[in-house]
Amino acid sequence: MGAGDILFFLAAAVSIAAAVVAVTDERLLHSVLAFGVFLFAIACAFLIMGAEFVAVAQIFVYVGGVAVLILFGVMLTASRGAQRTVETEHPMWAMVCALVLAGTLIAVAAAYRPATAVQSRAVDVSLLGNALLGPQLVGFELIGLILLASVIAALAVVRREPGR
Amino acid sequence: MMVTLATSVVWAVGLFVVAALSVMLGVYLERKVAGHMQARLGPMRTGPHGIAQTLADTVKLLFKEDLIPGKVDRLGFIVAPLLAFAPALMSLMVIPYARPFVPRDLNAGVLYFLAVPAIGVIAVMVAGLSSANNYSLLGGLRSAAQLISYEIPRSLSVLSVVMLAGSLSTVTILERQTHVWFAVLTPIGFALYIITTIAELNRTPFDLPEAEAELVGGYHTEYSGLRWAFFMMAEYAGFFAASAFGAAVFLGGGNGPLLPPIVWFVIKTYAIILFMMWVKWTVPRFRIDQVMTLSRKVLIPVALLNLAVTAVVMQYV
Repeated sequence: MGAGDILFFLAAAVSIAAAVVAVTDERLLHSVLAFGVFLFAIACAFLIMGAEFVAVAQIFVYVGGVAVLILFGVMLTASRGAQRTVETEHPMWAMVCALVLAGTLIAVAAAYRPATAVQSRAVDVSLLGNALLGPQLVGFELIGLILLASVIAALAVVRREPGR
Repeated sequence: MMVTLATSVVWAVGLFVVAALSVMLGVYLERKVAGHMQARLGPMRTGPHGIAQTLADTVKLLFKEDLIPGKVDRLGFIVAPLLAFAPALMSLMVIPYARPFVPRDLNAGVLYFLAVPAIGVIAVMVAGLSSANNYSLLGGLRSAAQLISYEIPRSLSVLSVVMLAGSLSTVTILERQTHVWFAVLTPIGFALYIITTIAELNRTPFDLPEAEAELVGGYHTEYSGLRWAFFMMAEYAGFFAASAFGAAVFLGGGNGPLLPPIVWFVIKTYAIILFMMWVKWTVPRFRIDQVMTLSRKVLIPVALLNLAVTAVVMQYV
């Protein structure tokens, strides 16, 4: 086990611990903070495995986008210091769903056998760029369409009627 | 593997020293430049020309009472200053100072440099939220809105250089500038980088987050002593990192005649730093709506146009 493995398991342990805190801590702000730590630890794991671009994208999109968006929500709804009040009405069903999802993920992960031994080495970003704008172009552009639709939808929601 | 780990640790410690030195020098320069621009002398009493002023301030801040107000969210309050300082230190990692001072040549180095400040946005918001003070909350909200809006034109301005160099690696970008600087090839991109960087650093004329007349101290109103010092350190270390990145990516970094590369690098970095200080003590502060309008109606369209023009020129010239 090399230093890379140790660092990877460290990142994995941090992400699991942060995920547990995110769903168990009663204060909203702490949940969000733990969620941020979780996202960042995942980015670290990507970096250790040599997926530099994915790691940076993870920070860009999830830490810089999703976590900030949630913080904005907490700020603008004046729910700072708020205690967790929402209780689920169907704890049994929630547990069943969680178990089914976890079981599926574990089964898939356990069944995965890479064709060759996975080497953790840096992937050239230009390869990724050529793939996204070459063979994967249609899917890439469709994602842009989804984003455009969501922006228009957000504008439609916040738009006020003239004169009101 | 252990060798690379050891060198990583050495780099980390070295970069921390660089950050600390740049903060000391940055704070001192800021006061001297401000003083001389206003026909004052600035600090004069600690050491010759007040050179030890920052050191004296550090000692003062260290000895101040460690105050945590009663109603704050303790975890958020304690974590926020550390979160603010971390990205400034992290972004020093991908800057190609001058051979052999290149800590890490990441494949996506430019993206990394642009993505890391996102952690600072979270720090600002957490500081504002956990302070249990409406001025802090408003300050945090403003800062976050400003930082997010300026991330887009900033990334677009650097993208023109990425296109010219054909690489996201800061080292490769530096190597492509041995004959001509990218600031010459894409002057609009460089101007956009400087403007948006001033905004990202919360410096005047974009220092809305700390508009003391309306918001007391912005998101760090409730902070004092060493914790407040962390926000200051984050600001000046980030200032140095952004200027060094600008020098490397737009001004050809260590490339230059006669003098050794590291000297050229320092000259160019501090040219950018002094320029931003000049702007700070010359231009008055914007209003928040002006800041937002500038980003969305001027800087982003200009940046997109600059990209399009760069692409067309690259294709046909």
